[in-house]
Amino acid sequence: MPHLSRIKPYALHLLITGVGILMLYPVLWMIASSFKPTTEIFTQSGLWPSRFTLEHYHNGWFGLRNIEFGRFFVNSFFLCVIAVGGTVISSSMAAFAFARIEFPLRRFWFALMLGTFMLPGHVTLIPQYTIFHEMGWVDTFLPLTVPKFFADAFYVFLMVQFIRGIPRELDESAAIDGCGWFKLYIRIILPLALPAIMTTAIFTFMATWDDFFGQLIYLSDIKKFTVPLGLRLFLDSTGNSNWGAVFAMSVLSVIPSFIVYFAGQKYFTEGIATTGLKG
Amino acid sequence: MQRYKTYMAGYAFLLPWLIGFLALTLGPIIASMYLSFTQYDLLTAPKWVGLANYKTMFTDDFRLTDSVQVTFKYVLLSVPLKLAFALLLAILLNQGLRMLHFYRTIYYIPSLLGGSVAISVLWKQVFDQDGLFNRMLGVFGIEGPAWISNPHYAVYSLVGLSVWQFGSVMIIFLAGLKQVPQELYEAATVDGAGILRKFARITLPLLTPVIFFNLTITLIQSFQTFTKAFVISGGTGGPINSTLLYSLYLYMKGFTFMEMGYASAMAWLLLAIIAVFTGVLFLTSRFWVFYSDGGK
Amino acid sequence: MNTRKIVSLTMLSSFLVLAACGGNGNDNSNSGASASPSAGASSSASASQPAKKVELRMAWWGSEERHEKTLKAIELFEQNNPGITITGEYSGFDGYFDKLNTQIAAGNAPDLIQMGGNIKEYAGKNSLLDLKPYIGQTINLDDFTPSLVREATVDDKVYGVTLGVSSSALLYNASMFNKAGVAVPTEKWTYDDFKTIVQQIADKLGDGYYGSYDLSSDSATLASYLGSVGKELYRDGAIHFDKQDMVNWFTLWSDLRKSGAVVPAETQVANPPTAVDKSLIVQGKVAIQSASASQISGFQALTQDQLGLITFPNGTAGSGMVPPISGQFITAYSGTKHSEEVAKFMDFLVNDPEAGAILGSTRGVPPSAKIRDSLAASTTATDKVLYDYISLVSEVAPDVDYQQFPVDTEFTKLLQLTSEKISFDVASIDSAVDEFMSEVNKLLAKAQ
Repeated sequence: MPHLSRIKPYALHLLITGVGILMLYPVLWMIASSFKPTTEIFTQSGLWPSRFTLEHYHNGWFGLRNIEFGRFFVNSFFLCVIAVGGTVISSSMAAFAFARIEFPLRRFWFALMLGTFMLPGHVTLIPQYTIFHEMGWVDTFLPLTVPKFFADAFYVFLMVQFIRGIPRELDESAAIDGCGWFKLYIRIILPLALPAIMTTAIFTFMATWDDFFGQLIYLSDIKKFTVPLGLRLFLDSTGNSNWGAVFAMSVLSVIPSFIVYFAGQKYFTEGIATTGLKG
Repeated sequence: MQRYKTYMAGYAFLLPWLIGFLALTLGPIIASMYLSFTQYDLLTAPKWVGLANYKTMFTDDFRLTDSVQVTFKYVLLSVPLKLAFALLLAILLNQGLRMLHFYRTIYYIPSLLGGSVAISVLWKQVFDQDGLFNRMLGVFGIEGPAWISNPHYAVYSLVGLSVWQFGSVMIIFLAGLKQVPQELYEAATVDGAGILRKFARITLPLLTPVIFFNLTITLIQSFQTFTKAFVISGGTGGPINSTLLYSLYLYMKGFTFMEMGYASAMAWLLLAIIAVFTGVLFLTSRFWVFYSDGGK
Repeated sequence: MNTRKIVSLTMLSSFLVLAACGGNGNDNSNSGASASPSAGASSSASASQPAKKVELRMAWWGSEERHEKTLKAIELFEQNNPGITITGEYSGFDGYFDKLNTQIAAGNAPDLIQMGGNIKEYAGKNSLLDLKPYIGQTINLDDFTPSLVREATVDDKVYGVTLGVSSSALLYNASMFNKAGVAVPTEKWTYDDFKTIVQQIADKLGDGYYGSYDLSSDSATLASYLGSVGKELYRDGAIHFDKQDMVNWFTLWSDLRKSGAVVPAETQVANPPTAVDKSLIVQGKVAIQSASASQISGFQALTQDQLGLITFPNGTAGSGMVPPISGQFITAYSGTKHSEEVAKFMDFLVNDPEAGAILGSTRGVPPSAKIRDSLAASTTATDKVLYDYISLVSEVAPDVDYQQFPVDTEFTKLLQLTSEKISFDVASIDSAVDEFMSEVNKLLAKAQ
């Protein structure tokens, strides 16, 4: 890797930190707002509250009748775990097929897959809802989990690009060793595509964690609500909103994504021992 | 015999996607195609109107013209900027600096807030007339306009938001950089190659599959950008349609004005536009994307 | 041929594929395995209920205060009516109508639906139940102002029961009036007074402070203005104003904008008065904006300044105020299987004294005079401002049967576009109004 060794590391740190603060200011503002009295959130422009209050955290967590905010976290986690597992398995399988195996209509299916990705979701929403309604799946977690096991065009394409970066000589040496396709997929391709797989896992987690519209459409029972839906229970743009609680719970809701990202990043940025597997 | 076994294996691995496609995706796509030839208000059954929706789109819809213009401007600006910014930071953050974990995380935080309800309030703090961005410009003696609320500049604040959330593109670049075998650099160093030469001869070519991916996906996603415009403009696409991205107008037609037939027709026009762009990208890719698998 | 049929057909064919593939039972079909863990979890999450009971679903939007009160009212109703359970399907406002539209399109809407001013877009399209057979039987509306019932009536069918009364209003920041040393207006004020007052406030408080928002884009203010000069926004399929009225209207605001009395275009777009959290009235920078009266509590919660409500100014023909209107309705889905129970609950919501005490003014001023009187003693200061204002509007509003513009959402968007073209100097008043008039005619044609 080329190192910009001639630039003083201090200057580099300064630059990175400076830009970082600029990018982070809005986030700091959100955290500050969650500790401000409601009447100050939109009237005081400074970051520092005149009086620290934890009431928004209390109201946000316990303020809803018959349910605690923690339940939404549990539900969101549940959805995320299933979504990550399903997406990684199904998308990596499809990607392996597209990138490594020759079969009839391969290009056709690939083009079709990308094509489905190009049609705006708003117009397929109602027909899709109708299907799930006819199956009796509305107001269960099924419409939000089962489709994850059918591969996602974005991640398939991502992994195809990465798998195609793995030299084919490896396949051939594996084939000589008597490896079947399945073993090749498990033993060679999956470990070598780990950066892409971790990226897929983390992105899927975050997309599921953040998804508001899909969860809103399919979930109605408050006990099945997820974090994005829970947050909006405090928001009525036509009248009263509990902004303090919104900010407080927003801060909490970012924490899991933050942890997942922080813990996961080393897997795709710390260099996988690709070289060791060669030869 | 061996060949059929290979075919079988291909379809076996493709099976999950195929099932999902046939069971859940294909039906709604056909339905939306059918709806594009109807007048459908969501509450009563669709009425067949033939090509009327398409005709109106091309002849009598000034909002659509506005929205196509805004969308092209947005896509053509935000895609290259976002990719360049993400690539630059990925390279920067891939240096052997201390505290890299920390920096990488900091830089990803804006992208973590993507779906946050607070984003519109937050964004105003940055791009308002006396917002953070203009105060920064002020240090250099430049007086910036009200980015969000001036019809001439509003689209740039959308571009800014898109670039601000460059985190996921950056991560994919970082993952791609990690796939570059270290010994290639070592060999080049032995040959006496400098930093720029190593970047041009090793990093860039080996990164082309990932660049190609990011370019294609960002392009498709930019054409479909909805949430940013919805949140920034409070759902209006204003001022004077200057943030009326195509998907926002499509949503407005379908769900607010309850013309789902027309919205479906709009969706198919968008699909055609995106398909043309993506098709061109794929056609040119054979000239500049290098696969280690020999490009089969 | 309808969509649902097509969709079901496609679905059926896909199921055949699914079944065929599942039969092979190879190790790659992880789809089958995936369904079970989530299925188990979801069935355990939904409580199982005995089959005999009547189960109703009710959808509403709001924030946690309204959720709390509505759930309490539902619990009370369930206690009084064993055998009926009502499941609340509540959410914030974001996406509420998108979800509702989807549910109606798929034939899966809740039995009871909270609606806003857009009720007429749903009425007469077979999606809402005609309540006429129940009125006077199960649902008692004797205590309601007749105009409230008329609002939900289309073609002699009644589609909703008013849950809360509100009215269009000017919301003002009294603390700013005090600071500027300007007297708070009374309902007798005229457009000339308005111009003087907003100019005074802007001048006294200095740079960055304004007497009023630019209300040229606000359809409620426009409707009232047209009334005050003896015209009407809309009646019986036609508009009752001409180009000159609109030119006068936009000139009025254009002059105020040029003299610095009202918010300039860019600031207005960045801080839209319709978004409670962005409104500059909350920050004490703008003294007057337009709002629905019942929104006052939402605004007041965010600021320590004192807020108040006042009627729109009078014109050459007197007051153009529209009588108090329904802010929100409760409606029933036409596909409900338990219309009798639905009607019973509707009556409970608006007439039961205990329910009235629980719900308070969470959806506006209660429509029943009896409930209103019993609540008067226990209202908060902000509620009292609202109640007094609604009474004031009832007194000053001329006795006309107000008709809303039929495709109201689109009209509002058009008015805003025209107003922005003028305020950003993209078009002259004359040419912008010409375009406005021709687009309005297109909207009228669409509404036919």
